[in-house]
Amino acid sequence: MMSLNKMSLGVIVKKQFQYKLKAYASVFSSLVVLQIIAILFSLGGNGSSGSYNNNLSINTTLYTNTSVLILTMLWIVIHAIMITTKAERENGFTFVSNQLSNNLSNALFLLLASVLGGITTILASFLLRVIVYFFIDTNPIIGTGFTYQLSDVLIGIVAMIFYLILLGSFGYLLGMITQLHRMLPVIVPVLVIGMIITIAQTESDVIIRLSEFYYQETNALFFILKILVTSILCFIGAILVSHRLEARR
Amino acid sequence: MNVVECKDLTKKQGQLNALNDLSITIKENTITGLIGRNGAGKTTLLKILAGYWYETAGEVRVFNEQPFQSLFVSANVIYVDDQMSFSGRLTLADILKEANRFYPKWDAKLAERLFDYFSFQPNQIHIHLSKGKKSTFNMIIGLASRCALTMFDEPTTGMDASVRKDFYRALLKDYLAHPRTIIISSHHLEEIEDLLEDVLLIEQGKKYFHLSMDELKEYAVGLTGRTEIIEQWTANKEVIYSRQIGKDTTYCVAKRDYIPLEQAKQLGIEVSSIAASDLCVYLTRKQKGGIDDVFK
Repeated sequence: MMSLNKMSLGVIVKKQFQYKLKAYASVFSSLVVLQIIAILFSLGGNGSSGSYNNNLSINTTLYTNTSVLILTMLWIVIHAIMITTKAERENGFTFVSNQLSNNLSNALFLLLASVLGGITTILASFLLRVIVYFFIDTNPIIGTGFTYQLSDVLIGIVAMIFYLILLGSFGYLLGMITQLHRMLPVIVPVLVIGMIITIAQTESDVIIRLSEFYYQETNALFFILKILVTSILCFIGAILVSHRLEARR
Repeated sequence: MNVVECKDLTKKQGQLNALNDLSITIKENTITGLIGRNGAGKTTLLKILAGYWYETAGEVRVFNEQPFQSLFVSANVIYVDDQMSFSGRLTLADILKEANRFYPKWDAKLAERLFDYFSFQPNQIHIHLSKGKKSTFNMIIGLASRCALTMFDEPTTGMDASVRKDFYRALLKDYLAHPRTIIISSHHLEEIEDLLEDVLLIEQGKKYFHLSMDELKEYAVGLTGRTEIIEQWTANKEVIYSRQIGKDTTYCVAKRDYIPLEQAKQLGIEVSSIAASDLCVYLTRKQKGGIDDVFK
């Protein structure tokens, strides 16, 4: 009787996750590059206004890390879609794996990416402040006089992490759906954009309500719950979608 | 114990049936050659056995499990071809390390020795390797993983003659030291026939035969003799191949069962044995005639 290898799903997922950390190291280096670029963009100020009254003139320049935030959000969506592409899926099937283990290790990877992305995004806002303080504006900067509570920073980080998780899992589901048929990479973006345009034209408030649903939730627990449930549903959807996908064409 | 069992296995690829009611069993610890023309369904069969593709109809069992999406099958099966893809981030040394983590029976020493023997550099990247080098590296992974079912799909693509020889020798040695079930698909039966125990010939998705190498050598005979005698002799018999040589001499290949050989020799028919590889080529000819007829 031959001896056969028996490996549990958990063990395989862990091994695949570790493999992906190495294989997708570029995801993290691209995050660093991206955020540096975003910070450079932000140095010009995101908005400025001036007012003149008698002999008094006031010029304000607004520095925010909105660009970092938006670019990081784009970054997670793009990478979530990219790891569902055929080439990447085939890399995932080189060693012991099945679709379920592949999906779960991808989910873990996106989770880690969201955590790192969330932390760096919020910290980037402090970096921006420091750069502006030392190198750009010698005029008084509002917001330097007081210190942030650690809890505020943490809340910011947690919120950002969960937004990234939400976007990442949504992108992953979308990417997986487009893998079902070779026409879908064309059709899905058209449908998504078309739907947004149609909704906007009919002046329906679906999008607003949808973003309010996630964005304006003030109760931390509900906020986390809403996002977690949505993300888990997205991943279950991706797992179901990919269940009949064949590997290694 | 049977490692592979297929019953009426059918796989549709578009309009075409890549596999068509294929029923085979492959026993434990054998080396089977999977032989067939281009497009006969060799790769399709192997990919279904590896669990990459699902069957359209019929039944397939590998280690008594349905292979598609099975982790158990994936952990005990390795499928090696020239399309194996590894992330461009990993060096060859990294890939061997990763393989070691995934395959419990991985033989790191063997992998390292083969790696050195074929003079790979640890920091090379897989996608930068030449075709032959890629195949050689993939072969190392296939051998060192020591999976209970090891499948090589045209493993020698791009390899030069000396590496091919080395590969067959390495395969045989490792198989003798660590018996397991091996399936090799190839166009070059003549190269691997000394290695094989069984030959599975498939044609247009169907099993043509599944014979042991010894049976295959006895399967048919070549007959050379005067055309009229040959024609008379083979009149109601299954002729696999026939060719006119010279003015009125014919060479033909027929199934051995039908031919009373002693009688043939007495009539001046020259009886010769036929190489397994030639036989397989003759058996799977699509039609009479050859490429020359295209240009007529």
